[in-house]
Amino acid sequence: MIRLELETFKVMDRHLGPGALNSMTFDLAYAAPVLDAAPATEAIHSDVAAPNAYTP
Amino acid sequence: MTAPTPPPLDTRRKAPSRGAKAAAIVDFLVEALDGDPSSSLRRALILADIAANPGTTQSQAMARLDIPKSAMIREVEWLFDHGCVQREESAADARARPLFVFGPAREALDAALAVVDGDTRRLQNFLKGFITVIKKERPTLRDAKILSVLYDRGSAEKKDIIAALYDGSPTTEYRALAELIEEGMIRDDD
Repeated sequence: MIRLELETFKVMDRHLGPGALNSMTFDLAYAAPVLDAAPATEAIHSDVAAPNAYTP
Repeated sequence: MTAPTPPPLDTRRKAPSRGAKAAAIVDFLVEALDGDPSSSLRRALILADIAANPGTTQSQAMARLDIPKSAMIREVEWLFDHGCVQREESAADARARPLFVFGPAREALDAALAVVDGDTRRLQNFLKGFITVIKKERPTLRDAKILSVLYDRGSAEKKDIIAALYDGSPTTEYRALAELIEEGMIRDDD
């Protein structure tokens, strides 16, 4: 099992979080082919309706 | 006139996570860079800069991005050789070669930009953010994808991460994981 280190998560959150990715509007029409092509990715993200479900 | 048909409910049921957005952007950038996930984030940054400033010269892009001349020359050559940018003759200055992003690279870059509402500055900040996050000399799009996949859940099986990558050589994919482990950004619990 590969785990994201908490420090990495914190730095990513600072750079990818509020004000960056969080404020994006996102068209699922663009995401669908990507996610369909990578079922493992979709599975990984299938339980993230609640944002930041990170558990160290 | 009939009302437009609304999209099926399941397509608007929940917003994609930040990690999924990041992964989608990275995938489009890989596509824009001739399908090469080993491309550096800096190369993607240069491509985005040229697209945002059509007709720019290499020197102008170099100044905007604060990239050393030798690295810029190398990256622009790569972009030219892989059909991502074209260089035109300048009537005003024979030494200047205006650069343009075109073809499939342009289309894939536009798809990446669509994720950030077409805002080049946000796309560049996204890339600069990853360059800051990844403590490697030459962070790649593959590295960014690995971290994007792990961002939401915090952990995943190694095989699932590899499956979410780019069907490259397993040695390359595992090496990328190993380097991120070595840098202390992720850890292997097995």
